[in-house]
Amino acid sequence: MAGYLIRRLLQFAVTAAAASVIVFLLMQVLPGNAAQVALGTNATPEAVAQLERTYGLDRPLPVQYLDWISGMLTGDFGTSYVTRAPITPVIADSIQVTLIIVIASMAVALLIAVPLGSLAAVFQKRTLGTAISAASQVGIAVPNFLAAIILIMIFSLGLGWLPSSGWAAPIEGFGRFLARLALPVLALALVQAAILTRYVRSAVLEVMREDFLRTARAKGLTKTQALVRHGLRNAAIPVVTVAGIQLATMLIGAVVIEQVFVIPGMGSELVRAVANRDLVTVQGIVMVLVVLVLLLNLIVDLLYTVLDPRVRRAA
Amino acid sequence: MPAHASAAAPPAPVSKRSLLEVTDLSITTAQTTLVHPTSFTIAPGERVGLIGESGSGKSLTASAVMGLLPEELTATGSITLAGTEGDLLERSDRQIARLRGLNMSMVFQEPMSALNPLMRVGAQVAEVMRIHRTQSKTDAARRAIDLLGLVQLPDPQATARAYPHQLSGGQRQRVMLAMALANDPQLLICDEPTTALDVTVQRQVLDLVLNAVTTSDTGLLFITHDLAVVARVCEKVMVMYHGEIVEAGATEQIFTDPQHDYTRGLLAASDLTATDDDGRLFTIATARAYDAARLSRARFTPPEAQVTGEQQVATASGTANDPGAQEQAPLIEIEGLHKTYQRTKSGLFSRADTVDALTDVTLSIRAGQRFGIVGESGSGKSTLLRILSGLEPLTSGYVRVGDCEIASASQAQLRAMREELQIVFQDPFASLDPRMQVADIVAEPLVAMGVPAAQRREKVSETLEAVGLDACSRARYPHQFSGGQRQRISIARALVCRPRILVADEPVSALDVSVRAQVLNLLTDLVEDYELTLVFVSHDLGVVRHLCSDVVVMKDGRIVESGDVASIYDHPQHEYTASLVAATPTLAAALDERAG
Repeated sequence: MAGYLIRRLLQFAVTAAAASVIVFLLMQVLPGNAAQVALGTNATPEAVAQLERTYGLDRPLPVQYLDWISGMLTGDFGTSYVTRAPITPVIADSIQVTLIIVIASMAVALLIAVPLGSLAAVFQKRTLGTAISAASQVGIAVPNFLAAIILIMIFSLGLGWLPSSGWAAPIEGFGRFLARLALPVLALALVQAAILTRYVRSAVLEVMREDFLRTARAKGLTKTQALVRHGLRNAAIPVVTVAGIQLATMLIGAVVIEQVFVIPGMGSELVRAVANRDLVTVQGIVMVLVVLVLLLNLIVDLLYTVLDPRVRRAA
Repeated sequence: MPAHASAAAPPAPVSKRSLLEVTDLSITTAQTTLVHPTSFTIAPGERVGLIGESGSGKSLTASAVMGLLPEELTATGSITLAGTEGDLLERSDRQIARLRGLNMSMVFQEPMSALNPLMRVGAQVAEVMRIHRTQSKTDAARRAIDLLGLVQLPDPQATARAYPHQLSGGQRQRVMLAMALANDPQLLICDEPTTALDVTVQRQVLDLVLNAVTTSDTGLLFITHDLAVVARVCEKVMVMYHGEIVEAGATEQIFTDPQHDYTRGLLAASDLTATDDDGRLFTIATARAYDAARLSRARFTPPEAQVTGEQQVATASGTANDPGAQEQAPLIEIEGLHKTYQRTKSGLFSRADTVDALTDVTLSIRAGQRFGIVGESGSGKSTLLRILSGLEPLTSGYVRVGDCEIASASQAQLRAMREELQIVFQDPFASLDPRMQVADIVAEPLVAMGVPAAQRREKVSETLEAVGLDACSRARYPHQFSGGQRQRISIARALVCRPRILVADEPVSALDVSVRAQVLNLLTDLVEDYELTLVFVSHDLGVVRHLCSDVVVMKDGRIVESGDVASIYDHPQHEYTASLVAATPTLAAALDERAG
C-alpha cells in the first residue's frame, strides 16, 4: 500500500514535469515574445533586444525553463510583463474562488445525482424512472452558459432573489458569499447532475443484477435495504471514476461561468491574460490548471483503494 | 399481514408432520407458464433432491419459496412453512424478508459472485445474525468466527478478516454455508451449491451440508442437475421436467426403477459407463434400451462395469494399438516443458515473484489417439493448451505439433500449424461472436486460409450437416441456439478446415447431462469419420474415461500420472489420482453407499 502511494506520487510528479515542458514550449511556439508584445509593432529591433536582455529572454531556452520551474516550486510565478505586477498573488486569489465554485458544484451535483439516479434505477420501468431519465437527457443537452443565463433570468431578473453577478469572499459576510455563490454553482451543478444521474442509474442497475444482492436478500433484507447496505458502495466505484473525469471538465466549465457571472476566478484571469497577451501569466495559470487536474486524478485513484479492497491488493 | 392471517389454511394438523408444504405452486410470466401447478412437502430433517435440466423450473421453485422471484414473475398457489403463520406467497417483501436467513436460508450456485466484494467475510456472516437480532454485535462477530470454523475454513480468525476475492471458490461456498446456517434455520435450500467446484472440494462441501442438516434436523431442498450428487445427499428425489414434477420418490427407487420416460432418459444419459449397441452413450431419445437396474446390480457384481469400460477402451484405442501406428513418430511431442508467469510487482522496490504454471511436462500423442488431460482448476491444463496452440509463449522445453516446433516457429508457421490443430472452447455462450451469423462463424477459419467464397459455402454446409445442424441455421445468430447447439457450432467451426488434431477444452462441462451425451456421441462420431487426433481436457473423470484411450493427470502444473484409462482409473498409483477417482461422484457408488 505504501509502495503504491509512492509509485502513484512519483507518477504524478513525472507527469506534471512533462506537462510543464509542454506548456513552456507551447508558449515559445507562439509568434512574438513578451518584449515585442510590450513594445508594440513599431519598436526597433534594438529596443526589442534591449528589453529581451532586461527580461532575460535572450538566455537559452533550457535556462529560461529551469528559471521558471524553480520559481514556481518556491511559489514564485514571476512578474507580468504587461502589468509589471507579480503573478503569484493573482493566481493565489483566483484559484480559491475557482476551487470553491468547482468543489461546491460537484458536491451539489452528487447530492442531486445519487438519489435521482438510484430512484431512476429502482423505478426503471415505471413513470418515475422514465421521467428522471428524460429530465437528465434534457439536462445533458443544455450547455453551462445557457443554464447560467436561464438561472439569471429566473432568479435575478424575474424573482429578484439573487444577484446576477459579482463575488464576495466569506469574510465579507457568509450570507453575501452564499447569495453570490448560489447561481454560478447551480449553473455548473445542474448540468453535471444530469450527466452523473445517468451514470449513477446505470451503475445501480448493474449492481441490482449482482448475485450478492440476492444473497443479501436471502439473509433477510428487503430489496431496498439490500440495495442501500450492499449495493450503493459497489455502485459508487464506477461513479467515482466518472466524477473524477467530470471534475476536470468542470474546471474548464468554470472558465465560462466566471465570465457570465463576472467572478474573479482563474477563468477570468486566464481570459484577461490572453486578451492582454500576457504570456507569462497565461503560462502560469495553465500550469496550475494542469496540476489541479492531475491532482484530482490522483485523489480519485487513491479513493479507489479506499472503496475497493480488490484494488488495494493489486496496489 | 393480519389481513391475511384469517385467510390462511388451517395449518395445525399439517405443520406437525411437514416442515414445508407447497401446494399447487405455479409460476407464470405475462405470456407463459414456467412452472405448472406443483405440490410437494418436506418433513423436518428430510433431505429432498430436485433434479432436472436447466430451464426446467427448479431454481424458480426454490426462489418462490424464499420470496426471491424476479418481479416480472407471478407465483400462485400456497406455500406454508412450519412455525410461521399463513401463506408465504401472500407476504410482502418486507414480511417474508423476516423469515429469510432465520427460518429458511439458501446457498446459491455462483461462489465467485454471491458475496459482497467490498465487505470482509466475517462481517458478512455476522450480518445475518444482526439483521434478525439473534445475537448482540460482539456475540455475532464471535459466532461468525465459530461458524467459519464449523465449515472447516482454515484459521477462522484470519478468514473472517479476509475479503471474498482472497478466498477460493470452495472457501467462498463454505462462507455461504456458514451464513446460511448462522441462525439455525429449519429449512436449508441449496441451489447447485457444488456445480462450480472441483470434485475433491465438491465432496468436502457436500459432506459439510450433510453433516450440518443431519445434526440439527434441518430440512433440505437440494437442487442439482448431477444425479450422482443427489443420490449421495438426498433420501427423496423429485424430477422436474418442463416446469412439472414428473416423478418423485425414494432415491433408490427413482434411480433403479424410474417410471417416467424422462427420468429414465436422464439416468441413461448420466451413466457414462453404459453404451448402446453401437458403443454410443444413451441419450433421452435412445434411453428405452437402457437398463436402469444395472446400477443396483453393479454394486453386487462390480466387475461388470469395469468390463464395459475396458471394452470401450479397446474399441477407442483400436487404431492406436495397431503395431504400424506404434512405430510412427508421435504427432504431438512435449518434452521438459516449463512455463512461469511473472506476477505483477507488489511494491516499488520488491522483486516480482514468479509463478510456476507448468513444471517439467513431458508427453507424446500419437496420430489417431484420443488423449485425455485431467486436472482440477489451477492444475495448468489450460496453460498447456494455450502453449500447444501457439497462443502463448513457453518458458523452456520442447513442444512440437506435427512438423511445427512451437518455440522457434514464425507467425506463418504457427498459422499453418493452427490449420492442423483446432480448438473447441468450454463456454458455448461466450466463445461465439453474438453479432455474426452462424455461417460466417463457421467459415471464419476458411477466410483466414484464403478459401474462395463458393467453396467456403459448400464446406460450411457440409460441416454443419456433419455436426447435426440443419441448413436453415446458417443465417441465424448464436443467441437463437441452446447451449448444446452452440457447442455444435463451435465444433463445426473447428472442423471446417479439416484439421488433423481437435483440441477440446472442457467442451461439455457447461451442458446439461442429456445434451452432454449427445455432444460426446457427436465427438466420438466425428473423431472416427474425420480420423482426428483428439486432445480432450476436462475436470470430469467420467467423461474422459468414456471418450479417451489414454490420460494424463495434472496437479499444480505437473503430470502426476499417465497411462491408459483403465489402469489409471482402476489402479491409480499416485495418491492424488486415487483421491480424484474417489471424490468423483458416480451413481453406482452413491447408491452403494446408501445401501451400505
